[in-house]
Amino acid sequence: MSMKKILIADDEFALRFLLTETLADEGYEIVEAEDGQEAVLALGEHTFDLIILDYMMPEKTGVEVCQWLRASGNANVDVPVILLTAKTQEKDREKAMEVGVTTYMIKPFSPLQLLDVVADLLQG
Amino acid sequence: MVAMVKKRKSLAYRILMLIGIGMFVFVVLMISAYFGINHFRKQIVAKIDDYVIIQQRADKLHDQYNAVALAFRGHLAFGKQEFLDEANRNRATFGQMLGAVKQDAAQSVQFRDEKVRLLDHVETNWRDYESLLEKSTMLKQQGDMASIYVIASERGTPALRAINSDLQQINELYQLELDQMLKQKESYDSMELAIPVVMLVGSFLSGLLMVRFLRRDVVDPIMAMERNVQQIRYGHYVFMKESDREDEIGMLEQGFNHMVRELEMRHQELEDSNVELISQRDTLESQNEEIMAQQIELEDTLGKLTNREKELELITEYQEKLTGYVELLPFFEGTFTSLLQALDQDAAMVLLHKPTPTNESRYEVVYSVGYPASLFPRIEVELYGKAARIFTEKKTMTHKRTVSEMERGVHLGYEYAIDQYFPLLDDQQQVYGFILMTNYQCGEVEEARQQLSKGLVKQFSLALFAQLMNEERRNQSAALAHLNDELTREQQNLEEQRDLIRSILESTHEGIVMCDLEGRVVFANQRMEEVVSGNLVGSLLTNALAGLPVSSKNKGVSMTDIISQFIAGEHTELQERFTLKLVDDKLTHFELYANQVSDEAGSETRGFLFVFRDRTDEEKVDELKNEFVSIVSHELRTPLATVLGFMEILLHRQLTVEKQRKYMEIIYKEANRLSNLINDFLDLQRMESGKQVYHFTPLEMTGILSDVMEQWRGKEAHEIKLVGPTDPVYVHGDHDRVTQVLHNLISNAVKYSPGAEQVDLSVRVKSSRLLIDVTDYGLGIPEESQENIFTKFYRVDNSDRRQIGGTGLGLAIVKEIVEAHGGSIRFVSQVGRGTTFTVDLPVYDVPDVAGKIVILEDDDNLTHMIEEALQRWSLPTVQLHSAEEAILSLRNHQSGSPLLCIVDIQLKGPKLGWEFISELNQNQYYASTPVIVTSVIEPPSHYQEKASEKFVRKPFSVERLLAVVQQLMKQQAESPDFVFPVQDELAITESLREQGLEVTDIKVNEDFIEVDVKKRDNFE
Repeated sequence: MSMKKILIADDEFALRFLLTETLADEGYEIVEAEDGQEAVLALGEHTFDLIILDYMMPEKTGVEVCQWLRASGNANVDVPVILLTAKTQEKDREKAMEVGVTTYMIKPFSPLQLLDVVADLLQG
Repeated sequence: MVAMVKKRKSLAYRILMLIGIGMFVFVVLMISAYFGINHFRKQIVAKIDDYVIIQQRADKLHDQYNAVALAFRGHLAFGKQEFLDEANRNRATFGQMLGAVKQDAAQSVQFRDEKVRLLDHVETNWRDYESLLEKSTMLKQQGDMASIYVIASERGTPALRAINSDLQQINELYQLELDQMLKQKESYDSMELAIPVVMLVGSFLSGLLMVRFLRRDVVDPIMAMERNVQQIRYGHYVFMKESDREDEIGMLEQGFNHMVRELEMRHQELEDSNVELISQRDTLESQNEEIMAQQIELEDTLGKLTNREKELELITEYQEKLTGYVELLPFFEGTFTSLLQALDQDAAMVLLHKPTPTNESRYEVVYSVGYPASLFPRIEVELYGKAARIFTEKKTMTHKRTVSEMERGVHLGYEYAIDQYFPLLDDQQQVYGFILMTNYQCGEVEEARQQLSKGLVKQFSLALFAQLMNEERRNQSAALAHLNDELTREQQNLEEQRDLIRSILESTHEGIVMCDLEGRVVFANQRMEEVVSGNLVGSLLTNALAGLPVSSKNKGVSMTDIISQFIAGEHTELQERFTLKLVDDKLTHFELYANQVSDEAGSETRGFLFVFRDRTDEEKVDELKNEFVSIVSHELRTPLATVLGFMEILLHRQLTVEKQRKYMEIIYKEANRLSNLINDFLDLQRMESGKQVYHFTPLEMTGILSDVMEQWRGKEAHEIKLVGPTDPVYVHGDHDRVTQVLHNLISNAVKYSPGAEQVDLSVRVKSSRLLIDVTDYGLGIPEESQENIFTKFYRVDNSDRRQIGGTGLGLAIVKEIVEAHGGSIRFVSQVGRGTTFTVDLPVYDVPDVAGKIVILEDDDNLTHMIEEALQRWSLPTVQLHSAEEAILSLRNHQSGSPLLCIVDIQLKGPKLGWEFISELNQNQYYASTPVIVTSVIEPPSHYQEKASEKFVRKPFSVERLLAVVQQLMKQQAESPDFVFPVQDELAITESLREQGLEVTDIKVNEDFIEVDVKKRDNFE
């Protein structure tokens, strides 16, 4: 079985580093993007098994990237998306679900729990 | 015919004729002279023209002759055939021309013989010359030049000379003739010029003649007549010398003489009649005496008639007075006396029946004259006797009675009185009152008098009735007017109230609608009609609102349904929020309240009141608040997520030491970031809510800038350069906050110019403003972000900045602090070049305390009270808020010491009042300055008052303070010499005088004034 490929898009270096450290140790292949635009470019270049997006990013927010992805004819169009966000309001969650986010995770999150979620999504 | 003759001889005619004929002759003469001269002149000009042609012809003959001779000589000399041909051609022409000239000469007037003779001579010589020519031509052909010379010298040359001289003579003759003609022409020209001069002289001479004629024939006789008139005025009848003139003057003289004769005659006649008149006057005078006697007799008779007339006059006067009064009392006063006089009565009164409003009988004496005041009561309820009877019998009654005691007081000496009652009848012949008249003097009433009385009273009755009617009408109309006024006032009040309510309704921001029970709009204010953009009144509210693009918050039920339900009575109250999409797709948020409106008793519903409150602004505030919470949440959760995440990994995973260390570093950095964020956030929150306490003191800015720079030295790769003045510049500010501003700005400059080498600081002072520029040479701020950079949590987003940390609160904090200092912040920026932030703060001017009373006090109200009290002594004061300020003032201005210092201990800045006092005492120059220490707290236990330093415990009364001030100032004054900094001498003298010091000597130096004083005896 080949390594599962995960896209991580977050503008905060520290958080990106946390995610990469958490997931890379578990044997996933990681592609990093520093903002929404880079995430879109990466989605064009690679085929992913999972996508982790930050909500608030420059250029394009996580929700915008997801919206674009689901509407596009991209190879990753059906790949599960985890949205990490500090936005706690119900309407934000609704918005995220509307555009096709698979899992909505609120910051601060537990890296171990994230690993479980990632594993679940990749299983299914 | 006679008239004709007269007319011909009239003076005017003669003058006219004289002028007319004279003018005519003169003009004719002048015109003919002009035309004559002109004619001759023209003739001579024509002649000259002709003559010039003739002369030219003769002249040309001479030329032609020369041409022949010249051409032929040419031929002889050069032997050329063309010369010979030309000579022959010219010869022929000369022959023709000679003929023509001869013809002219034969026709000429002057010198004809001379000319003909000369021309004949020329012709003879010419023929001779021509023969010589032919001969010479032949000889030339033969080449015999010697013979030619012989012929030429012997015959040719003399012939030519003779011809030449003859032609010259002829030309001279012509010239002579021409000169003569020109002379003649010139004389004609000068004659033409002389005509105007002759005209002028002629006019002048005829004018003189005219004047002389007028004087002799007109003026002289008239003046003689005037002299005669003067004579006649004095009675000398003088006649004019009769002349035989038949013109106006002659007639005048004749008429004058006739008039004088007539006058003389009339004069004589008048004198004669005068004598006759004098005799007639004497006769008349005697007749006059007779007439006078008759007149006296007549006057006597007249006197008898006058008494009767007077009676009539009284009646007339009375009748006249019956009309013409408006008010009742003047009517009585005016008419009643006349009535009494006319009827020869002594007293009278008018009684009227005036029923009460409840129709009970009531009688009122409205006017009385001649009776004692208390004889009748003014108002009666019931009448007796004749007074009662007259109301039913309606006829005049007479009654004789004895005079009452009371009446005797007024009408002394009468036993009996006769009362007459006259009924007063209205238009319905009803008795509305009566007149009682009393006569105190005579016996029976005569029948004639009685009749007269009846008549007059009847008139009075009618007049009074009319008067009463008028009075009533007037009262009614006055009452009406009063009522009208009241109504108008009431109406005004109502209108004002209505306007007030309307303007209240119109000025509210809410849309207000009032409906009747069916839901039909009876009132809608302006705001409401703006919302529905149309007129609402009269239509059903639900219909009017149905067309609005409403998105109600209450899902499922539309707003119109809710309103319908409410009107139908399903709810008693209504409160609903909904959103309208009005013009430009702008969302407008409304809250709708509705209430039933009941009548005052609250029992009956009258309608419904709907209030549409626009809560769009509130909605916006809500949104902003949500957004802010969301941003704060994001900003806090992001570092927290990192910290917690790494912690969890550290706790649950086996990691290498290096990895552990790296994770720890990240945790430390992010935790720090979180801490800074929280600090900044709390700072800003405190500042925005106005809870930030600033400790304002004078700050020396160059020093602060140096300190700040020192802290940055070596910390970053950037070199921080300071450009600016080294002289101290002061700003009134909080030291820590101003430092924070500088740190934030420098920190931003460093952060946003990665890779740049330097950051510049510059300090400038421009018109009392201190300008601090912080310049970086970095990324610059994109134009679209410029308006937001002072907004909380705003950070310019782009990939270059991603690595740059920060809370997004720094500039917001800077702005708050600068504005709290009365300053402002601005910036200029260019993407890729860098940014300059400029802090603009007001410069603090260090106050001058020399010669003033320093009040070192942070309580402005207390200061104000003290200042007012000290103004009584016209002592200048200055308030300082902090010890720092006060110390700075002492150090900065060395111009003179304060007059006195009132020092509080707890002040605005961190330093205490004690520090200022010790500054004073340490300086020799200020050491003797009197000081009053005021404080709420007790002084330290080792504290001791001195001669020039007193302690006054707070709170104190101003009087107590003033007493201490006075005491200290007095002590100070007792020291032998006073030195003041230069100021108004008079003010010094005056303020010293008020302290009981008489100025004995005053010496004004360049920058100080020395004063010697003496204590005033009577001052306490």
